[in-house]
Amino acid sequence: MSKIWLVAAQEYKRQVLTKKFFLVLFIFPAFFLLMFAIVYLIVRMENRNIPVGYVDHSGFLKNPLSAPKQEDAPDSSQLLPLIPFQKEQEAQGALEEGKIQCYYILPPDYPENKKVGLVYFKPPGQNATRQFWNFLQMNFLRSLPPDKASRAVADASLVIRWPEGGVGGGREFSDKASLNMFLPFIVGFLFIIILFISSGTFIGALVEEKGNRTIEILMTSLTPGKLITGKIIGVIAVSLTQISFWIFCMLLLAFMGGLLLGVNLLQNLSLDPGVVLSLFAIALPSYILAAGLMTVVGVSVAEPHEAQQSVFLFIFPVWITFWLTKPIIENPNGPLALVLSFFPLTSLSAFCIRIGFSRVPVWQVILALLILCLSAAGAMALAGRVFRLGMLRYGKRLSLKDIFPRRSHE
Amino acid sequence: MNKAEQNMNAVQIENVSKSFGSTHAVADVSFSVARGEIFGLLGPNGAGKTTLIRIMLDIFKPDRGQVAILGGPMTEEKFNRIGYMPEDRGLYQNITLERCLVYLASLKGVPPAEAKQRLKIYLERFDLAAHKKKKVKELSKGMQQKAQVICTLLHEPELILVDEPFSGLDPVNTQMIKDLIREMRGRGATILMSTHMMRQVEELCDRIILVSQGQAVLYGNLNEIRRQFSGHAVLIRTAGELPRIPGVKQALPQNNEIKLTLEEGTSPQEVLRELIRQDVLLEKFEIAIPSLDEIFIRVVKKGGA
Repeated sequence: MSKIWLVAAQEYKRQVLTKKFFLVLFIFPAFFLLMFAIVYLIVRMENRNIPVGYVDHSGFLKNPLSAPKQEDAPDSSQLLPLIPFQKEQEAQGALEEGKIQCYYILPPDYPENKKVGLVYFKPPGQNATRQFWNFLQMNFLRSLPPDKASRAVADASLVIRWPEGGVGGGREFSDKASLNMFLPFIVGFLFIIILFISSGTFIGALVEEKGNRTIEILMTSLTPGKLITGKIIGVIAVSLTQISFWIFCMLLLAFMGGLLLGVNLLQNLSLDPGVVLSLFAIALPSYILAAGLMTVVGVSVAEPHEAQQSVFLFIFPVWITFWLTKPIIENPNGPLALVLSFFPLTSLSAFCIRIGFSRVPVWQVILALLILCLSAAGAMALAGRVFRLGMLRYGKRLSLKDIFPRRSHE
Repeated sequence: MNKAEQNMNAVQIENVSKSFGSTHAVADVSFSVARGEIFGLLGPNGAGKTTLIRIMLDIFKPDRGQVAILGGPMTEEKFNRIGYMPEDRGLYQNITLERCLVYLASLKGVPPAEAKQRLKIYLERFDLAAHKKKKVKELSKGMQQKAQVICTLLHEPELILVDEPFSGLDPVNTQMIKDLIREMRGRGATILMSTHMMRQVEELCDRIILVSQGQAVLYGNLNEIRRQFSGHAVLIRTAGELPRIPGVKQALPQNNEIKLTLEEGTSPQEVLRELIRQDVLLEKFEIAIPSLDEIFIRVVKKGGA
């Protein structure tokens, strides 16, 4: 096996077979799962499957039409029974016995005033309120044919379609699949998190090898170029493991939420493979660039904590980009978005924001890729130069003069 | 190894210089290490020994001069034929001893399965077999030192560069390493050893170079060097009192003998003539061969003066 692959495999195993890796791997899905579970439980707790009563003094609901199904209810197959009572005392008795969760009172002037009374011990669930509201709407529209009345009462759907050739490039946004707009952003955000984690891990590994002097053994076993390349491949493999697992967890969560639990928001999820491919293509040289720059920083500093602190240098541009999210979204193909997309340290974060809200032209992806690849190659060349000089300097910083001497002997 | 390589020295350093900023770490040093010999690289702290080793290993490029290792410039293929034990020991601390050593051997071109087989033998020999599944950081300093020795030898190198191989070892393990060095030489390996332990150098090395302030101040066959430095002292044993002998700077009793340190310009023959002239009853007269320690101190002090 080539020494590059040996180093990559060792780097991969060294990082993956640790408690820290598994903690990070599971902490994000666990966090999302927890958030999802909390939201789901809140909705479930608010929705009580106990019948709703009503007392109609106006005669408006004498021969009522039933309410249509609620599509966004967690369990759309269930309709709550609506029980009519002749007298309020009867309804009150049923409420006290727990046979109904609440009852509505339609006063005699209801057709004119459209005001109803509501009696409960504990506020009724959203499903109960909405169902009774739909029931009233349905009966207001009783003059229409039942199927038309049902369609009118059912929730309206908002669909926004960008014109072909415009900013959105023919993309479609539906409020029933509103998460689709944020999915590229979420996936891009995962790439960025991994960029931070892998940069930190990479610099940590270098500092450790410098600290425990293993580097001297390594430098007499293979060339610095092969050593760094192997390490970068290893770190990228670790990153891909993480992101693949997270995306798998997201899909699993969406499947569970959408199909098994009937959460409508998660049922129409879709992610354009082209978007993922573009993000991946931008992320890959971004990782190499970061690893190259991390090598330069990691071997130039004297103390391990200085190297760890330097990760901030890479977080800062990304933070700036996210801080500028609003102007970027407002004008996704404007000068600010373009500058940030083509600046190597902000490319990934800028594309993450833009790609969710606009159709990024292919030439921009290619140009950004080209700039990133050139920057990554430059960073790697610099890393190779600095590596030889810096890795064996214990307790001493490497200055620019050391890296670029007036008279080169190499 | 081809025939041309076989005939060449294992290490050939010619007029090598290296500076770091304004510090001249190595200045115009030349020496060679023949194949199959044990060579001592000596010098006080900061003399430039480690820099020289790093230049040999192509970790540092020399500012001037030529370096030939195993018959030519360093190549990646040659890395596999060289074993290096740095002064600052370097092993991964957070992985098991076995995994660490197998990985480092695989980087030297040994297939992992074969490295495991070889490692088994070494671990048993060094009493580390029971610790192979322990993390390196859980091992004692002495154990880590032995593990480092294994790491240097596991790929059966032709040229072995060891920086302070005996530091941190007890007498039993020191003897083990000495035996191992002799064994490696017996197998045809060339060993370049940098150490401060002159007794080990006297026992093991064929030739030495003494470096001080970046410059070679002594170089050659160890016995010849010691003979060169002899003549400044004689060991005598007498039956009676020792009279005052002109040209003798100091007379120090050593066991049953007396060591006479001679003044500059006084030869042992002159002292012997004087002793006979004064009718001293001599039981023993011997030219004292200085220890390497004495030579080291004398040369380094002279260089520093």
